[in-house]
Amino acid sequence: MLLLVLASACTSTIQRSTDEVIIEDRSSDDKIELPGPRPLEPYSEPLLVPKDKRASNPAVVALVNDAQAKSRLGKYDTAAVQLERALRIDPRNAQIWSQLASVRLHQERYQSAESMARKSNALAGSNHQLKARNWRLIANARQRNGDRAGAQEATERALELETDL
Amino acid sequence: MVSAGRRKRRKKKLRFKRRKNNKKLASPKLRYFLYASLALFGLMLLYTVYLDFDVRSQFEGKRWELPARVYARSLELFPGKALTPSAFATELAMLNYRAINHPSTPGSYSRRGQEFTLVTRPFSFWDGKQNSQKIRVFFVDNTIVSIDNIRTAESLALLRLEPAVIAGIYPAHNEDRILIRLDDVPKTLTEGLIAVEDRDFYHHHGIDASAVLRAMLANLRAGRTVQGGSTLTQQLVKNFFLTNERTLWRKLNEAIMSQLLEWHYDKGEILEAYLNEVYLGQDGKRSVHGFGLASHFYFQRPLRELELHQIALLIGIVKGPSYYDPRRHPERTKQRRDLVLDLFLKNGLINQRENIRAKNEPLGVAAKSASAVTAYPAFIDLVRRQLRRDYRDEDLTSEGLQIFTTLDPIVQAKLENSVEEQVPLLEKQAEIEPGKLQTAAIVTSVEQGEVMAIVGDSDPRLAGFNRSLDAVRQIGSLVKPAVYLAALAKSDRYTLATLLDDGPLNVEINGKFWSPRNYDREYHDQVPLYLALAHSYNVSTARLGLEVGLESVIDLLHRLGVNRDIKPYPSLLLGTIAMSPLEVTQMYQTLAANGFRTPLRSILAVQNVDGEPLQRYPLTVAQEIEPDISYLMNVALRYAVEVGTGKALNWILPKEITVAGKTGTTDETRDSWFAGYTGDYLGVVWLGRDDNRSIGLTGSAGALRVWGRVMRQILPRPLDLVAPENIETAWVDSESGWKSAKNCDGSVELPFVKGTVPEQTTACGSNPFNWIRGIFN
Repeated sequence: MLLLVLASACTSTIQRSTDEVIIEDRSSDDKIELPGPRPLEPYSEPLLVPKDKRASNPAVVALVNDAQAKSRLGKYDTAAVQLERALRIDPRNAQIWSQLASVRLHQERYQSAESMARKSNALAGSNHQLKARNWRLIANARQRNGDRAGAQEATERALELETDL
Repeated sequence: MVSAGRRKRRKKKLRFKRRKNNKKLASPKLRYFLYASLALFGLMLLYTVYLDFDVRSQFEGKRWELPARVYARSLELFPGKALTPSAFATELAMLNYRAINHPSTPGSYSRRGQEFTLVTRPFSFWDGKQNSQKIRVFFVDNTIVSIDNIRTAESLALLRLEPAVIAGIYPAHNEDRILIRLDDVPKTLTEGLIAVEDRDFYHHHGIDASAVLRAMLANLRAGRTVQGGSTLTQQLVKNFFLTNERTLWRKLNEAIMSQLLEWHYDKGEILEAYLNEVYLGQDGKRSVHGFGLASHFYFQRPLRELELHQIALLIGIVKGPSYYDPRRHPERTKQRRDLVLDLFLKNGLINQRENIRAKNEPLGVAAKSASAVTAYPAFIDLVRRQLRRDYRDEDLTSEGLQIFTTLDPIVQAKLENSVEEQVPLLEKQAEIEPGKLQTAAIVTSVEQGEVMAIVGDSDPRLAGFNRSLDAVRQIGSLVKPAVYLAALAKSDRYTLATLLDDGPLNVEINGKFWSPRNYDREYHDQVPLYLALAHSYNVSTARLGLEVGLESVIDLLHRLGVNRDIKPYPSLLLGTIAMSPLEVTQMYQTLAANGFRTPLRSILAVQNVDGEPLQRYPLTVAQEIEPDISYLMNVALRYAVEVGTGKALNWILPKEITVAGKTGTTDETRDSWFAGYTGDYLGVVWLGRDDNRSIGLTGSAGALRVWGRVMRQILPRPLDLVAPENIETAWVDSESGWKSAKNCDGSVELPFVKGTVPEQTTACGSNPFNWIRGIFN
């Protein structure tokens, strides 16, 4: 039942998470000036349904849900604690690592956000959807960290993967 | 009686004399006396003001120095968790849960085979408070299959047990206590205490004249001190502000301070302070203060879980903790307890039946706990070193910090037990004097770098030289993965199938000749790269390392997390570099975690005394090696266990537990190492002697045995390697390294970075090199 709810949430994930990416806005902007990082929107990422069947462990789902609830309230420290607990149960779950990357981004720990997203990618196998999301997140982190060229590069990686979907 | 009468008569005489003298006094002298009295009164007033300041500042300021308390990890229970019922029972025992038939109070449980019913204790975790719950946990095949909340009949996805206290960090004077609030104290305890120690507590103003009289009479009748007339307030003052000397001056101070205390504070505050302050026992150097800690010290459970007879015992101890030490003097302590129980009855706190039942109970004192001297010296050593970076010593010993660590007592127990079982066997086998073979071993979680277990001595409970952190020893072949990684990183030149030359090597370096030899004293001609590593061949490794360059090997070691200065000597390639087991663990952590370096952590979070979060030590990772390259290394280290020097593990571990790892042996077998990992655990084991003499054990014959025993017991997940997308696999001939067919003898499937699969193909059974060799023979 829970999984069904999550699955339905999943379909809306991709659209919504792309909303958050700044770089995309450039196409509509005129070329005079690149927009600076705008404030992060309130945390609103529904759980992606993990492909790995082990990851559907209800304990992991419960923890990730709780982490997301805490994130929405701006309690990123607690959210990170819950995600670390989830990782103890399922350490190679690329989805959890990606969630942790999001939390780090909201905590404005850009270097760490990128590392977590890379870690997620290393474990994501052929899950291009997740990898694209991670590259968008990396682009976002780099942009905020003042690395525009790096952000551009990451966005291109994301776009490549998205065209593959 | 006679002598008392005589004394009285003499006193009368003296008084009479004085009166006579007074009559003779002239009036200026009287005036002088009056002034003196006034001055004295003024001084007394000033002194009282001073005492008042002292009393208030101490009572209101920080009243107690609270040692930091160190907790183990909390056990997460969830359906699907691999855990043996017996390990679960061990965990409950460690948390001092009582095994009873019908658990109903927090901290109790019952077990029926695979099914546990327990009432958890409430606990303030970082992310909030978890209330007490009555749950049922059901196991099948060493796995939790369900957790149900009995009251609500809900299935739980997840539940944490409260973490066990594993150590305290004490101040120099070694006072220890667990603070309690008056609201949390059982009524029987407060009412009983008042009935026994200070009947009129709620009515007097600090001093109870009638009690003093009563005591005097009783003492007079007995001819010795049998009863004290001190109120609880006076006792508190004595404990709190004064030394133990028995002088009139002290008595006077005590009386003044008691009244001041009563003047400023209400009875509840005074009682609470008393409950926390009173001295109740001695644990070696550590003095036990307050009922909160005494409850743990004598019964190993929190105050609110005590039974009537235990409460009575604690109240009995107040009178004289060393005289009524239940462990040393059970007889007289039981008499004292029963007397207390009779006083309970007399004061109507309990009825006849409860009185008799409680008196029939044995003392029920637990064997002395190891809480003062920690049971985990090596781990606590690591924690203290990490804490010292962020906290001053006085904060650690006085602020009551709660330190949450990563220690997993179940894994720790298995590690200790493998060390204790294997070391004597290995000593015997290698003919080492008993007690001379030393060990250090560490187990961490692969992806998070959390130190779960650590041993720094062959006797794991012995505090002292912590070899896991401080024994810096040559690492031998454990260095080799860095050499091979440096090569594989040049993926256009090296693959797992690249043939390496294992023929004689003699190089001149700074005028000296270096000719490394293999452990088996033989040369192996041409060997595919993955097998050269698996068999840990020295000659081909040295040649490879010189080819890729010492600098790039050193760079790789740094990237893997080795923080020390490394000199570019060629012998480095064979592991003459010296490192501590912890440093080796950090290095292998990066390998195990797909090239992501995670600083090893032993502390997760620190909370203040009220359970509010102070500091968290979050998980951090940094990518050091490309995922495809580190994947190739993981596969190579799998082969090292499957067919190489780690082969002996296949007899120790069940087939389904796949692992990767590397043996290490140094010159003259001075050090025996094994570093390896499963899907979830990383372990590093070192064996050697403190005097650095030969132990005659290779990595495979020594450290690997200990490692295998540990992993076998902690139910690891197999190492499931996820191939990155730009990895493709191909079947190659394991001797020539050429592409081959799947069904050929000696054919092996190896991963390659896309586009690097060997182009040459060999037909089944026709090793091209044999053919070439045949021509020359």
